[in-house]
Amino acid sequence: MNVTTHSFNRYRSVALSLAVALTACADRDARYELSMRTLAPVAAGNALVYVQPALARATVVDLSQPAPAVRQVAVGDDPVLVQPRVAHDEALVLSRGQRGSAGVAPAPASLTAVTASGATRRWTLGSPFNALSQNGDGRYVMAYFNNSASAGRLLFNPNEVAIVDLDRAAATGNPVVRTVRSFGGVPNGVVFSPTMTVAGEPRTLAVVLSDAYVTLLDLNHPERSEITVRLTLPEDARAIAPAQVVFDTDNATMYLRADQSNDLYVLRLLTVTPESATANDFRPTLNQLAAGVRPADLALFGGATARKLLVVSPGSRDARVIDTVANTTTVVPLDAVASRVLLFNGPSPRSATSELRALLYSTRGVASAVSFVELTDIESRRSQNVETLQLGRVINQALALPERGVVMFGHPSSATGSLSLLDLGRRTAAPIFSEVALESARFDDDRQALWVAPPTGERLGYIELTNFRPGEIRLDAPITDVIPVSGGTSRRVVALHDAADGWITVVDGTDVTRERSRSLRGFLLTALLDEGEAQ
Amino acid sequence: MRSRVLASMVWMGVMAAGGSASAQDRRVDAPWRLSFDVGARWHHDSGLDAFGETRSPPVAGLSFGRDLVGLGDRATLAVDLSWNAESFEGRLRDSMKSRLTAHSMSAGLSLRVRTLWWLEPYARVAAGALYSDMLLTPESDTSQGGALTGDEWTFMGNAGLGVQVTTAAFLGTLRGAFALEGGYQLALSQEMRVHPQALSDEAAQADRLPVMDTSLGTLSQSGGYLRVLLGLRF
Repeated sequence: MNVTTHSFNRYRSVALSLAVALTACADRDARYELSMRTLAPVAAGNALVYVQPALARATVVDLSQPAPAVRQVAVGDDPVLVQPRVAHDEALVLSRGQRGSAGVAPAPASLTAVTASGATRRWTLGSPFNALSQNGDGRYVMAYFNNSASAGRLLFNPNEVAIVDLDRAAATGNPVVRTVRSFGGVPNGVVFSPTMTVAGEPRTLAVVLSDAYVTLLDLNHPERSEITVRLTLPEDARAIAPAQVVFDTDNATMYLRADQSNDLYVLRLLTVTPESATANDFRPTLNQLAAGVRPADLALFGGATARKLLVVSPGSRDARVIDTVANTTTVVPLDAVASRVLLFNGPSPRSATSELRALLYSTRGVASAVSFVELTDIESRRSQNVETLQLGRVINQALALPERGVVMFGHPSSATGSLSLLDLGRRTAAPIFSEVALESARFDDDRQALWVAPPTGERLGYIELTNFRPGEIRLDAPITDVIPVSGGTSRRVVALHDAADGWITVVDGTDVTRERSRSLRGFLLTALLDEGEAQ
Repeated sequence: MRSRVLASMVWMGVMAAGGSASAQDRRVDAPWRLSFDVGARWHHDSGLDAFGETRSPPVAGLSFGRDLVGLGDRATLAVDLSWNAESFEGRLRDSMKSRLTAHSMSAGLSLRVRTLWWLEPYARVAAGALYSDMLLTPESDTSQGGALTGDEWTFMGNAGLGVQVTTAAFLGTLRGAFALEGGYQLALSQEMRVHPQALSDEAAQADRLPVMDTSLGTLSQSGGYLRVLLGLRF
């Protein structure tokens, strides 16, 4: 009886084990349940970079060959921002890292540079920044907290910044993490200077803009302390909102314009003897210049020893020429209100000589005329040097192409076309009919053509900027965005279509025909079936 | 209904087993077999998770076989042709419906050894082709792309052990056959490539821009299997 019972139990155990083995199946790989949402793609040279936040992955579509190559590379956890690196064939991906949870280890915030070939470099930032700003040659990038966004952490310091030298590998001292001195505000933006000589040494400065002060950081000497300059008196609680910085690289001076101030702020960087190894060898002095009512734009002109500022102030409907050496101001009344300054070298209808001139215009939808200003002898001739050109329609957008001697203006839709092409030399304006706004227009890298696509249309339009001949091509689906890419001798334009799996059409920029166009579908699913094995 | 048929077949087998010893040695004179099979395969390639919650969906198929030759008193060599299919279906990343259907077509060789006239353990090997067909359909209303589709062939083979039970004759020379077989299927990896599904309007399809395929990676459909065959011998 005992033997029988024992045998029965053994067989039952075997049967149960077999049943469990047969019916058991592995849990589904969690990666197949993550969102496919992507950040807006950017170009990196001749490649297109898509970032999928849930997968912490960048998909690089290399368009250098007729058959695109698709590569996938890992980026830091929780990527929130991707942007092309200035003057380089790379994309920069800012990741906020992972807070950590049950079974998930914390990961620090990081910055990843992704090349067109799919190679990556990564710098650990530490704090979960959400904004990036690059300098003019793409060497330095500053990560900081955008004031409008939440950090997604229990505690964070909104005045913390990290400066990364992208030409150097991650190491001690790169990135430099700092907390900028605060007078109660937080950074609103960052501006980088071009290389300028300060205290006898060429260097790049980062200017952190806050509500009523600016902070200067010497990127060539990141170990040195920052310099904070208050733009208002301590008892003045106004947030004047610094918005624009113009650098005079020859005279170690910077000019600041603030949205809520009628003054310009002049910071001259004077050489001093540093008191310690972490002290700076320059010190700014602050001066204020009256600039009309609500100055909206400024530009520097003139030689190093005769530098002048041209400022437009729509509130007082004038332009002002400020001699920065003599500290004198010349007011130039305007017939048409202006909020933007464009300096250009070119002829005029009365002079074939190419020289520096200015175009003053407004894109605020209030002015239907523009002003040409002859800068030579402007202080003595004043309004005699101003010529007003009526366009007949108010301007709400502008794309300047001074190297081609034209500016393209956008107007509210009208029967006479919604674009104007202003010839800077002849001072004539030709209407161009357009179904799209200029804000969606994209230039080629070499500015050979301007590409536009209506948000729901299947047609991609372009204007060849060598002869201003327009054209269009019909694609197979509505276009959500246009991204020109370049590299080598090829000139291609990529039209993006709405598809979760990824859909682009690559158009040959030199031969815009359907015969020369190709689509690529499903590239965001590349190696989908191998993902589980990779875990 | 199916359980009643199965019960009657088992009952007939048991009744037949109660016969004389000479009857136990009798070879069943029913060389042909047509059967329907159901079962499952237990895949280990996690890439199949892209197509649903389970890697072991039901498998169903048909097979047709014939005894070739008797080997000695108790052994029989048989051949068969089999087809079966399994389908994986699910959601992929909350954005797409995904479906994969795999068809296996094989020729098999089995060696049965008669222990009782109605009970024959056997070993079987088979080789053939595996055809996989996938469909990825966007769920978003705004997506303009339509579905992605792709298919691929590869070689497969399997080996297994089973036991076959044969009933007494009924309706003349017909006999019921029931078999339980387990084993392992080995399939070469398939590189799955997808392209947009063709439009139903031929003119519109001809007007489309050329689209380059995308590789989704490789898929291996090897795995253990268990199948139950229900059929007729005649």
